Amino acid sequence: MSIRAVSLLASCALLAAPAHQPTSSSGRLVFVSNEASHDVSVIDAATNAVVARIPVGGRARGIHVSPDGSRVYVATSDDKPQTESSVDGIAILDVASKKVVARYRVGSDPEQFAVVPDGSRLYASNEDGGTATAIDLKTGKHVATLVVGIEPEGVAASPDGRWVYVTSETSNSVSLIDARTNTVVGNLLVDLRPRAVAFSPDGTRAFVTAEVGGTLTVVDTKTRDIVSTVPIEGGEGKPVGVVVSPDGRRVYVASGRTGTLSVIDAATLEVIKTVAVGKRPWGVTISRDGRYVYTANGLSNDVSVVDATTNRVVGTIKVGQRPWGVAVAGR
Amino acid sequence: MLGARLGAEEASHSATLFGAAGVELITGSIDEVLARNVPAVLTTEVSTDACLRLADAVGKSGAVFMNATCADDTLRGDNCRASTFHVAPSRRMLADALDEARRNGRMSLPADASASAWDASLERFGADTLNNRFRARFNKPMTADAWCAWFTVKLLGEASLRAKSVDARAIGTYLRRASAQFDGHKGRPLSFRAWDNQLRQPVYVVAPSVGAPKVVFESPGSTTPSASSREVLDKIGSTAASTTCRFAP
Repeated sequence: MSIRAVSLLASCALLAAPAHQPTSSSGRLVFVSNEASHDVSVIDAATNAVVARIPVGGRARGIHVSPDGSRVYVATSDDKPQTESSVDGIAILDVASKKVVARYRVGSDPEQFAVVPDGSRLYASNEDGGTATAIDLKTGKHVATLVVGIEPEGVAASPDGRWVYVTSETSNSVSLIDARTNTVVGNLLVDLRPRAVAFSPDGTRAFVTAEVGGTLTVVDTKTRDIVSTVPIEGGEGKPVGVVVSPDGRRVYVASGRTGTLSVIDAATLEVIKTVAVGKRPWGVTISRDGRYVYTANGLSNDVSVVDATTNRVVGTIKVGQRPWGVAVAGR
Repeated sequence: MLGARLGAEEASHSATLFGAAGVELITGSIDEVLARNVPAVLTTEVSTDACLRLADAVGKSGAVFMNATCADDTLRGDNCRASTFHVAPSRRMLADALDEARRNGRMSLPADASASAWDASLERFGADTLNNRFRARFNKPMTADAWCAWFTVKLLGEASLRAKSVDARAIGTYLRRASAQFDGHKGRPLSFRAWDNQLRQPVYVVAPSVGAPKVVFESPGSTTPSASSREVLDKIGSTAASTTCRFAP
């Protein structure tokens, strides 16, 4: 009798907990976009348990958390490129309620995007259009359409919000957008099939992955020169996602076909470790404290958690179908 | 020539990003085209004789001949020309691919299976985006011939941007550079073999099936993980040892 009473009390307490404590005990939630199951998996980083799955109504690809941590933005598109439909856009998830609260249009077939650090605007690549689209995140209104290369993909905003870089996979180019004037002020030719770009925290470097080139291109953002091209797995890697650690000392590159995470010393540009993760990791992100790196593994339908101090996989979390991108909210 | 048109439109788009002039396609007889002092020539002719005649005429003019149509092995062998580059896979590459598919085939390969440079059903490595672009532009599937023409124009535009020149000699020199490689939406970097100017590339074995033909095998198949892309792609077609090509000095 008494045992049953205790058990009931415990489940009451558990049921009540989420209402008062919307975020996890560590304050960290990991959001994973699932391209095939059209939803977002929410992981409590304290327990590595999936605590929610949020339907977003279309192929979910690029994903980022708002600078204040209250919203998650997800690029969604239909299965028909070349035509803009009601599903093509940015779904806006409210972190507290874990619901889609709005959807903004950003042109056809949005794939990746970046939110400027003050949270005011979002720049998305339109894969089938050869353009990037900027919108105002307060109103959802269109701000600018910029002509970039053919098959635009990776997007990143500089830490000071002044620059937005867009990679284009067919043109093998990076377009440099001045975010103050919303004009393309220059283009760089990089290695083959540039997939993603990330800035160093001090904004002096940009790192561009080249999937078919098998390299990481390092750009001096001041001179706009290519300062180095780093082979990933001897040039035979297929680098896609890239993230720089918050202290700027490490660059992490997810290599899809080889199923690895390359850990690169940002100062010497040496690859210091190649970590085997799940199958076809594309999206990669790092916690704000720099402690954990997460990869979204599209073919094993899971997320790998890599401890950045030991460079070992410390967790593998099953998520939805064909996970594409990953973003962290909270510390 | 739809592939060449898409290639020219896209290469022109890319060129304008760098302040370069776009890529213009000029059509006409070989004399008319060469009179315009063009850096490169491609053709819709598929006969070996026509390709050889064009290779010689274009070579004499100082331009490069881009063979995007003729599969004949002698064009890459005894009749090879230093100014001719072969984007179309050779007959031997296609035969090697079919042999490899038969050796590796868990299912028996139908007698009417064929090998080709491209298929409209390909999806991986951005093949889907290219197939979608072609279909959206022309309302037709992208054939192997269309891919060869598209890729030819794409690589010429890119070689010109990277070599910072529209001169035929500079482009030819760039294509022969050991480090020169290109992306054709096939997942591996593509480059020209030094011994016969043949493009290294994966080819696809296609078998008829209910509805539409299906890609059943990609050749060369995956081998030792440590092999470089060039080593893998050199498993089909002529090798440095087996080639009969001797470029005139």
